[in-house]
Formats: sequence, structure tokens, C-alpha cells
Amino acid sequence: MAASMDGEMAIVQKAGANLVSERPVFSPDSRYVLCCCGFVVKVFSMSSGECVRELTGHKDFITGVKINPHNQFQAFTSSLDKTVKVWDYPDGKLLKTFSVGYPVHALYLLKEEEDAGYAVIRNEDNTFSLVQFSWTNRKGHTIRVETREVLRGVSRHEKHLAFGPEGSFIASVTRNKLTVLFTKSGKVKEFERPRNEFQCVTCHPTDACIATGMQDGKIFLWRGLFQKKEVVRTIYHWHTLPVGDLTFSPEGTHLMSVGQECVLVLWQYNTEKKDFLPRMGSPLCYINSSPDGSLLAVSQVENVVQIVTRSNKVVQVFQGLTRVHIPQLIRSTNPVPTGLLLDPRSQTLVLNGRPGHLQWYNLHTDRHLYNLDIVWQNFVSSRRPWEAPEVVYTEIERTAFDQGGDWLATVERRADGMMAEEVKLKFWSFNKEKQSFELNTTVDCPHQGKVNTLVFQPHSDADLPPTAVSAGDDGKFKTWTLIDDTDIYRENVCWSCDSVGTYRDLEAKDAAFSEDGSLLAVAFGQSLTIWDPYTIDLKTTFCHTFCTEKENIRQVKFGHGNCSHYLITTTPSNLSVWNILSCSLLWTVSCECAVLVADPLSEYMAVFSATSDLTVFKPSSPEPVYTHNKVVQSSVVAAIFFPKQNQGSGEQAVEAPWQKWSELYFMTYDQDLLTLQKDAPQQTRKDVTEELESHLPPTPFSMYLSQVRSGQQGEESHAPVQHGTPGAVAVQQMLQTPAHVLPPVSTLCQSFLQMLLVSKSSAERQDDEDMESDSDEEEKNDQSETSDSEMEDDGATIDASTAKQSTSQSERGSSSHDQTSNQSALDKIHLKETEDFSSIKTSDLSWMKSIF
Amino acid sequence: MATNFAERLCQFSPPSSDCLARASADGRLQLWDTGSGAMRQEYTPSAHLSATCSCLAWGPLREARNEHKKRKRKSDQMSALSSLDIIAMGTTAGTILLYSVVKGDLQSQLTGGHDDIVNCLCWHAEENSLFSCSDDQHIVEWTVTTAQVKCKWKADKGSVQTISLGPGGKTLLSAARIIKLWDLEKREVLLTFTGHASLVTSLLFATLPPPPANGRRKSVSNQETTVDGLYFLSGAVHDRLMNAWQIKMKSKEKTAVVSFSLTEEPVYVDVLKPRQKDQPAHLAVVTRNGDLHIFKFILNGRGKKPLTPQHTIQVATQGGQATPTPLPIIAAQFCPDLDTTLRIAYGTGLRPAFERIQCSTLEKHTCLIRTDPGRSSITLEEDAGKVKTPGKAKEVTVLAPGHMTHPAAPSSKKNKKKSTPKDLSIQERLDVITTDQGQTSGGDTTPRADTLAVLLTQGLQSEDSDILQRVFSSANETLIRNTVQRIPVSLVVPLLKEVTRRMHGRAGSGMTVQWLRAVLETHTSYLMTCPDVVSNLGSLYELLDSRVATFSKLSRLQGKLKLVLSQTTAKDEQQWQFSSKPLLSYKDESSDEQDDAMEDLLHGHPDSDEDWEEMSDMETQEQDGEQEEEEEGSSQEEDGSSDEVSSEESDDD
Repeated sequence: MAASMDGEMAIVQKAGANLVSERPVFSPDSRYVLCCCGFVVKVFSMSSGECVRELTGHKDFITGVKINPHNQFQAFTSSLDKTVKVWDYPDGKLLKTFSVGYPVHALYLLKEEEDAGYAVIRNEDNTFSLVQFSWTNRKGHTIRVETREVLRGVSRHEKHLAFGPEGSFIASVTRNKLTVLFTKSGKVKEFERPRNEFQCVTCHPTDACIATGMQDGKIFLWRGLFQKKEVVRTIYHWHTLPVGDLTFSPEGTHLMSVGQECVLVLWQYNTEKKDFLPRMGSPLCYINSSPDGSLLAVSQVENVVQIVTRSNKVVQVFQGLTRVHIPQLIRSTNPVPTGLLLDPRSQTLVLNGRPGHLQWYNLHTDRHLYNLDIVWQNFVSSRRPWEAPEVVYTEIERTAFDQGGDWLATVERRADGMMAEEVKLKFWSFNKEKQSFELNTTVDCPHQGKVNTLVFQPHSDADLPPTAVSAGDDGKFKTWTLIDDTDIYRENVCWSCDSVGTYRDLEAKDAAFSEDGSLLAVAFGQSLTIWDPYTIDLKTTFCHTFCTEKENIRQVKFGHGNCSHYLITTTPSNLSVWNILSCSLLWTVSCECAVLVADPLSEYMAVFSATSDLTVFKPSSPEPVYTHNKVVQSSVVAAIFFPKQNQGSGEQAVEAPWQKWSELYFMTYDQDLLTLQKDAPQQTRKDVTEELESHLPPTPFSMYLSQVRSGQQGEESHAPVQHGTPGAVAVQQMLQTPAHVLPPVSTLCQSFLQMLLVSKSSAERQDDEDMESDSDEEEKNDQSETSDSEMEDDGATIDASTAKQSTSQSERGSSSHDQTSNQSALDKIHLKETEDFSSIKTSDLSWMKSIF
Repeated sequence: MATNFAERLCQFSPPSSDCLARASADGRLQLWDTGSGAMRQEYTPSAHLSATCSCLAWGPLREARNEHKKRKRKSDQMSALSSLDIIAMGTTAGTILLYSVVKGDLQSQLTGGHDDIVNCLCWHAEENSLFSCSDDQHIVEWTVTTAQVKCKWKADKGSVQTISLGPGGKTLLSAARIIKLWDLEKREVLLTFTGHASLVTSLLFATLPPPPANGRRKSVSNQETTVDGLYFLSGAVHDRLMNAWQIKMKSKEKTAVVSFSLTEEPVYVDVLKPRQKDQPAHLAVVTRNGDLHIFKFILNGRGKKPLTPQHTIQVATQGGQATPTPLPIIAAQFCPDLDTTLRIAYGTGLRPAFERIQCSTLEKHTCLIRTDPGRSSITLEEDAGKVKTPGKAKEVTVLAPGHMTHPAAPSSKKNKKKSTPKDLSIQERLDVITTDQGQTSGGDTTPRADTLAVLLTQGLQSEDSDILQRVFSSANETLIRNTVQRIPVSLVVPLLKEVTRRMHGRAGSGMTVQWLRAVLETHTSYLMTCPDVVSNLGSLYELLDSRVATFSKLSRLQGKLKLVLSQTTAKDEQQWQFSSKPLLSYKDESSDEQDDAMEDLLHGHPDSDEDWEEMSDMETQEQDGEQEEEEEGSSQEEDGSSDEVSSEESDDD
């Protein structure tokens, strides 16, 4: 992702983007959800769950996305590349670029200000301030905008700042302080909580009320901000861990809060009542509400965005590559201790997923398949920050697949520093019948201390039992073989330790099998030992005598293909290649190697140095095939040569020879999965000019809706708007009229009842109109469909009656408070509707398409 | 009349997206993820009951983002289509619905072309058009972008059952009973092929055109060069043969070139076209009864006999208590890998399961035993993490330090134990008997041991745990030794294994160690001659190794402690000696002093002597009582007392 020094190859992120770096945003019609993913914004479709568009164009991380409140088809994005861009997100087109001049860390748009927005920028002295930037409708693609500082010393996170209703005040939280700036008067109020930290802030959409989430899990509601008196504070306390994010529902009736407890809490505003959606799976970091309030988007730290309805039902899930989030791994040097592996059976990527899980990820389709529970332990949410000790999770440290994908071996370890370490080696067999892995053998404490490596022996013939080798800090390497454990009662196979090897009591750091499985190389300290894997005879020993310092071998790999007789070792300062045939050192170069990977399909190998420099080489020669300096800013922790999908087909002349069979994927410390790609000008691809036109027949509901719409358009002035009790007018008239002039009750009865009927149907129509504005999901709703058909029936019967009542047309202008005219007016509506209906049928339905 | 041809209602997506689209009988469209086996989308058209889906076809897909080279070549319209992942669905009412997978909704509806059941759909992605054929005897070409009929012509007297677009897109095959090859530009019939008695249900090209000199398909100008000489396959209703035909413009030959024999009528057909001319083509045919036949053939002329399948695959459930039920294979598709792999879907339409099969691993008849996917509970994927909990095998073996090789040992031991006596030759048996006799006769001097040896022999041979328990409970060392000496040699290894088993078992079997020692002392030479001693005694070795693993550490600790203690005592001693010398001289002067000192101690007032005081200060660690005792004895035996203390301490530790 960093700028390519080479120019020839670019670092790109093809799969596994981080969806949860910022708050997800709903489109106004709730049909799309926009997520920031690194340098792009992904537009997901709510109904299909697929990524519909990618908004590409920013040259640095995107820090926020917002829908233009004045144009529902436009989205603003802010980025660290000092620009704010305006997009037509349904079509994926870039409309405008505003150059702000400073890295933008957060973006806020207000409904009240049509040509201005607010942004949190980073000044030169690394402080953050909130600025207002305004644009005029000048022509041009890139517009330099003026900024005006509004508030200094704010926090850079989006959730640390919020705007009050109609922009009347700005609430900003920094560590221990809540600052409220009243925009009209320019006054500032500050509130300090010396022993507590503010985590997030949000403002009520209509009331002058600020909600802040605190580190100790309390939620404060600050009210009465505009009064001279002391500000009133209400405390909502359910969370025990720091509050992750807060949001009010658009109508302001509910406050939603999330945290690391994996629970979504819905607080009723102004009451004590609360509702929960528990067991969300992993800690939650962001929440946002759809504009109509019917849906909630909840981001989880493990890279999942869930869409939840107000009835607490998960309706859609956008899942990315599961990110490791437990603190013990985040703090360690390698958040992905298993590294990247290829499942030979499904040709998918396997790596650490949820705590204690392995995840399967399809790189070609960029789709998360599943997490496999290896450890069988429930996830326990972390303790409060000030409560020691921290929760220690069992984590998978080593994983290996055998050649055919029939066996999976995992090593899990839990070390909390107080108890003895719990290390388990598990062998999983692939049950073809159930098409899933099954636990076959568990080995408690296979080595004293850490297991450093775990590899399966590649087999050329199927007769030999599968064999695996593990090596640990106890200076032993153990070979494990599958044995037949069948007796008269049952058939069974299990794994058993076959032999143990040691060399001078040195720590065994890495082991590797040659390509045909006939040799086993184990690195002990500075020595590299070659063993016969069948008899465990020490064949020969190589020693890094040329190393002046005492440097232990870190990694051992055999070459492949033409280079299968070479053995590559890395130490903290050297990369050396040994020839096994001549038992001599072929060449060595001085480089600080962090990750060494071999392509199983070709003889190429790649090494990442500690400073993230990539070198691709063939073991036969010390000349690098390809170098790329500083591929990323952070360190590279794991890499893999991943087989290409369409191997053997043509069109490979354009690629570098080392990329012919496999693609090199690598994972950075920040858990971005990146790859190298020819720097092709695909970004300049013309935007799709001709769209696939949508020709859809009008649904019955849309037909009916068009009737209602047009009927209302025509009859707006005539249709009486009824408020209050149905029939109140009639009742009032009855009461006001002197009793002696009243006709008999029996004659009044019919008109009175009709009055009630009338007002009911008009009210129902009002409801329907509301329903239509919600979303077309409602269209599928049975309820609306049934009411819809009822209405049509209604219309049909009254249609018939209108034919008789031709006189009613003359009464169009009469008072609406009159009973009879009231009724006739209604009839008129239906009459008008039928006319419209017929006219709509013939006229083109283009405007309807825009609605549906 | 639409035939119930499965391929029309169920189709794998192109390989860039792992998906299976399936239209159920009630008109719903379901998309299944072949990777995870989960349902990705379900769509119910508004008129799904009145206009049920009769056929479906995947349109062009979004390409993988890396293949930018291809993208440039194709037109903009192409990307318009492919950015939506369209599936075309023909309905019984004659309309065609275009469903966008990306949007998860209907994109467009093509109406006005057919007025009867749409039988087959065929995409022409480059031209942005879609061909459809129907029971109304017509073929319609649609412009998809505008949803309008581009062209419509009558193709047959009966209903047109199936169509297939030729390579290059200039020709079209259509079939009712007779297969016709159409020139799409002039809309005239180029060739007709007769031979199927019933309605043809599937048509597909089996070979690619030979690559022209410049390697670009576009440069091929006229359709003769494109399709001439190519082969195509056809299958028909109620026909247990699939036919291969060759398109020869000049020849009058209009009959099938070769046929493939099936067990039932074909319902899903896929072909892996050879890349080079001499490579074999692969044909996968799913038949009505749910079998999958794979043919491997090279098309190079006429064959007389129908070809038989290379592999036949069936899927069934595990037998066991219930009778095994077959699971019909629904669909099969080749993956464009180097090695021939197949994606298959099997099970019921309610919940299909997916698998990848490598053709190289197959035998002629392969029956895959799988669990019924419909039986497994349909879990709603509410959990966002998509967690799969792996099962446990019927028996999970647990190994722990000391038991790493344990579970293997008993099994092999049992086998060996049963087999070894049988495996012995007569000569060996005689030898054993004679040695037995010799030993028992020699052991007459100790009758009790003799009986124990017999008991042990019996116990080992019969694996009677009671007898063995009685034997192993004896603790007399000489008894054990004598017994071990007297057992037959062939039972040494079983005895060792029994001992090992007991050592693995409950703790507190202190006797077993003595037995083990006796065996090893007596029979080491015999054990050395055993060829499989490593495998037999591996677990014992491992056990001992792990048991004594801590021993070295402990002894190291003990040594260190000893060293520390000896040093401290030596230090004390030095000072002791330093301070004791005058004491000794003092003692020399008068032996009565000792009595005085004793008296002082008893009274608890050592008032006069400063030397005593100093000494007690020095030994701060020791308790007062000990100190005094030492002081007492110190005058006579300095070395002895210090040794005593150190040994006491080490014992305590």
C-alpha cells in the first residue's frame, strides 16, 4: 500500500479488507451500506450482501464517509491524503475533490449548511482541530476549499465529536474533558471528569442533550445545557467495560450503546427501561442507525458488520477476513502466529481467526468461508482495564496440513505466567462423510515449553503412514505417525509419537522436509542437522561457522523443483544456501530475514527482511530475481505463495516469471493482507457509459401506490384532513343542534356511521403512504400486501358506486365540514384514482421506475 | 412440453464465483455457496407460482479483480452486464427474468418475445445478447441492455428444446428432435443432424476451434472456419445414449460419430474441452438416477461401439443400522485446473452439499459414503462469525507425557501376543518346551517360586488379570528374580508389556519396578536379539524417559543444594575453627569448664563467657536449641557435628 519504489509492481489489497476501521453508513433508502476499507469505500447491497461498488481514488486511508444530506445519491469521503471527495455512490463515480490541505481525520455534514462541512484536521504540530470548510458551486473537478477553525484541541476519532440538533452546539470529548461549544454565542462550557475517561459522545437529534460513554462503562446524559443553572446529569450504567460507541435513534426515542461485552444495549430515552441483544459473538466497536431508524449497523472488531432490525433480528452480515483482536496477540510481534497456510483440499487460505479458531478464507472470491473452533473454549470478554490480571486466551500457534488435506495438526498454547503452560497438539482428520474435520488425537504437552514448528512429511507413495514432525524449546524434535489402533471392538487410527531426536541439548527452532520427504532438516541453535525421517539417523550436520556472533538459525526451507537439493536457512543476520549433494555452503548474503517462504509450484523463494524489503530469488543463484524495497511501513509477519486460479491458461506472458504459478500474499503487522501486482493502468478504466437498463413490470403495490399518489396530487386541496376522533364533526353538530330540530336518530345513524367509515379508510391510506416511504422491503411484507389488496377491493366497490353518483361532481367546491359533501369528496377521490390508473397504464412508467 | 431436465433448473456459476444457482419447483431461486455449503441468497419472483422458472443460465460474471488485461479488451457494455452478476431465468409464462446477484434483486424483465414456456437460454456475452428458445417454436435474440427483442425467427415445427451457441458466436445449434445448425447472420439452416428419436435436451460443444495463427478468436472471419470440423454432444429424453456429432460442411454424413452409453437419461452434462488437439476431452454426465459418469475420450473420427464411462460415481449414506440410501448427484462441473477436478452437488434440493473430486483419485466405480445433508439441522446463520464446530472422531485418543506412544503399544502388543505363539515353528516350540522343562526341573529347589512362575506363565497366556494381580503383588526380591528366571523366554516380551501396562496405569505399583528390573537384569541378552525390540519397548522407554525427565533436574537441584549447604557449613566451620581454637586451648586448660558451661546453660545465664555469645551470634540461622547442642558437642567433634547438620538439612529438603 505504500508507494511503490519500483514502479513496476504495485502493492495492492485484493482481499480481506478491514471493514470496521470506521463507522458504517447507511444510504438514505437503507438499500446500501457504505464501509471504509483502507483506500477505498465499499458499497454493499443490503438485499444481497454483495459489494456493489468500490469507490477508488483516494491515495491514503479513508477516515470517514457521510451521505450528503441534500442529495441522497452523493457521498462525501475524507482521507488522510488531505482531500475530501464527493461521489455518486450508486454508480461509483467521482464527482468532485475538495483539497483541504491537511490530513482529514473525521468528517461531519449538517443538514442546515448546504455548502459547508466540518472536518477534523491534523495541524503541523500534531494537534487536531475542528474546521469548517465551505465550497461554492464552482466548476472544476478539484476545488481548493477555505477552512475556518471552529474548535481547537479535539480528538481525531470521529466518535469523539458530535453536533447538537440543528448544529446549535458542538460537543467534543478529549481524555477527561467534555467541551461544549455553542455555535451561535460562541460560548464554551467545559466539564471535567478527573478520574474517568470519555470514550465517545453523541447528541440527541432534537433535544439539547449530550450522551457520553465513559471508560468505567457509565453513560452520562447531560441536559439543560442552555440554562444558566447547573447542568443535569443522568447516569445509565449497564456496561462494565468501556463504552465503545453510542448513537441515538433518528427520532430520538432510543439510545444504543455497544462495548466489548458483545452486547448491544438499547436504552429507552427518558426511562429506565433497556433492551439487549446479547451474544453478538465478538466485541463491538461501532454502531450506526439507518436514517429511518429501522435498521442498525453494528461493527465488530473481528471485521464483521451486522445489520440488526429493531426487533433484534440480524438480517444481513458483511463479513471480511476475521481480524485477530485479543490483546495478547496484538501486543506480540506476530498477531498471526500460525502464518498463512493453504488448505490443499479447498484451495483456500487458512490462518488464525477468532480467538481459538482457525478461519478459512477464499482469496479468489474474497469471501470468508468459516471459522473452525479448534480450542473449544467460550470467548470470555476482557476484564476492566484497571483490574488485573488480564484474561489470557488459548491461542493456536502452529498449524499444518498434510499433502492431501486429509489431516490437520494444530498446536494451541495458553501461558498466563502463573500456572504451568498448557500446550496441546491436536490431530484432526478430515471426515469425508461429514465433510468436516474431526478431532482424532490430542497430545498434552508434546514438548516441554513452546512448540516451534510443526510440519507434515510430504509423501510420494500412499503406502507409508502420514508422518508429522514437531520441534520445541526442550531441544527435542518428535516424529508422529499414524498407527492402526484397531481391535476386535472397533476400528480406529490414532497418532503416536514414533521417535524423539535431540542434538546437543540445543533448542530446536525449525524443521523442514525435502520435497520428496526423504530428508528431514532440523535447526538446532547454530547447527543444521539432516536426518533420515524413517530411521532417525543423523546424516550430516552443517554449522554456521562463518557467523561471528552466536546467532541461531531461525528458519529452514528446502528448495523445490530444480532446486530441491538446496537448503535455505536464515539467521538474524544471514541468509545462506547449502547444497545437500556436496554438503557445502553454496552462497550466503547478509540480510536481516524476518519471513522466508517458498513457492510449492516453482523454485522461487521470497524473503522479507525486518525492514520490510522483499527479495525474490532462486536458491541456485545469489542474484535476486526481484526486489522491492519497503513494501509496507509496518513489518511483514507472514507470507504465502498462493496458487493462481486459472493456471495453465494463456495470458501469462505479461507477468513476471516468478508470478506465473502463484501470487505472493503477505500479511502486515496491522493485519492487512496485501499482494504484488503489475502496475497496470486499470484505474483509468472508463466508467461504464451504458448501463444495463432496468425493465421491470410494475408490481401490484406500485400500481396501487401510483393511484394513491396521483389521487393525492390532484385532490390535495379537496381532501379533508381529519384529525382527532373520527366522527367528531358529526358529534359536534349533533350536540350543537337543538334537540327539537334533530331528525330521528334512525335517520342520522346511517350518515353518522358512514362518517366513521370514511375517516377510517382515509387514515389507512395515510398509513400506507408512510409505509411506502420506508423501503421496498416492506413491499414483501405480508401485512402491507394484505392491506393493499383490501384497499383495492375497497376501491373497486366504490368505483361501482361512483357510476351512479354522477351528481357528486357538482359538489366539489362545497365545505368539507358538511357531512354529505365530505362523503362525496371521498367518492371523488376514488373516481379520480380510477381515471389516473387508466392514464398511468398508457403513459410511460419512467417516474415509477425511479421510485422502485 | 418442458422436459424435466435438471441442468435447466440448476447450474453452477462460472468458476470465478463459487456458487450454484437452483430454481426450486415453487419458483424460488436459491444461490448456494459451494465453498461453505451455505445458502447465500434466496429470491422469490413476484409471479413465482403463475410463471414458474423453467430454465436458468448464468450470465457473464464480475471478473476477479486481478485480471485487468481481459477487461480492457472487452467493451464497456460487457462490464455493465458483468458488474451485476446476472442470472437469466426463463419462465413457463414466456417471460425472462434477469436477476442480479450483486443487487440481490431483479434487474430487468424481458417480455414480448415468447408466449409459451421458455426452454433454454444461452448468453452471448460479447454481443450483449441472450438467445432463448421456447415451446412456441421460435428462437429469440434479445438485446439485454435495452431489454428488447433483437431478432425472432421460427426454428422448428415443434417446440425448440435446447440451443447452444457455437464458438465465436456466429453459429447456433438448436434442437427439437432434429438438431439444426444456424447461421446467425443470415438466419438460415446450415446443417441438420438426425438421429435422436426423442426430444433433445442437451447440446454442447466438445471441442474448441483450433487456434488461428495470430491466436485471436476475433480474427476468424467466416463461420465455416470457426465451426467446421468441431464436435458437439447431445442427449435426449428417455435416451440412454449421448451422441457426439461432427460438423462437416462438405460431407453428407449426418449421423452421430460416436455415442456414450449411460445407465439412465442424462440430466446434467458438462464438458472439459481439451486445450490441445491431442489431449483427451472429459465429459461428466449426471443421470436421472443420480449417478455421475465421467468419460475420457479423444475425438478423432468415427467410433462404432458406444463408449463406456471411465469412472462412475455414486453417493450414498452410511449403512450401519439403517439401510444405506442413495444421495442423488444433482450437478457436476469441471474446474479449470491443471489436474482434472470436479465440483459436484448432491443431496436433495432442499439442502445440497458440495464437494470437489479429483478424477485421478477415482476408481472405475466409486461410491462416496456421505451423510445426508438434509438430515443435518439447517442452522440459520445468525452468528456472524460463521463458526463451524468440528466434531470428534468416535474415539479421541489422548496422549500425555509418558504416554506418547501408549495407545499404539497395546494394540500391536495384542496382535503380537496372539500371533507370536502361533508364529513359532515346531522347532522353536520344542525348544521352548525343553527350556521350560529344564528350568522348571532346575527350579525345584524353590518350590514356591516355581509355582509363581507357572502362575505367571498361565496368567500371561490367558491374560487373566486376577492371576497377574496376585503375581505382581509379591514383593520379595529374590522371589521375583527366581520367577523371572524361570518363565519361558517367549513370555519375556509379553511380561515386559504387561509390566509396562501396569506402570502406565495406577500409581502405587511399586512392585512393577522390581519386576522390570528383574526382567531387564535377567533377559537383556534375549531382548537384544529380538528384531522388533525398538517397536515393542519404545513405549516403555518413552515412559521411563518421561518419568526420569524430572529426575535429572531434581538431582541437579539436590546437588546444588548440597553444594550451597556444604559451603555454608564450610564457611561456618572456618569461622568455627577460627574461633574454636582458643576454645580448644581453653578446654585444654581445664576440663572442668565444660561442666561449668553446662551448668550455666541449665541455669540460662551464661554470664561470664563472651566467646559463647559471639558464637551464638554467628549462627543466626540455627535454632537456639540446636545451637546449644552443637556448642556442647563442638568441643569434642567439630567435623562430625557439621556433617550431621548438613545431612539433616538435605534430608529435610
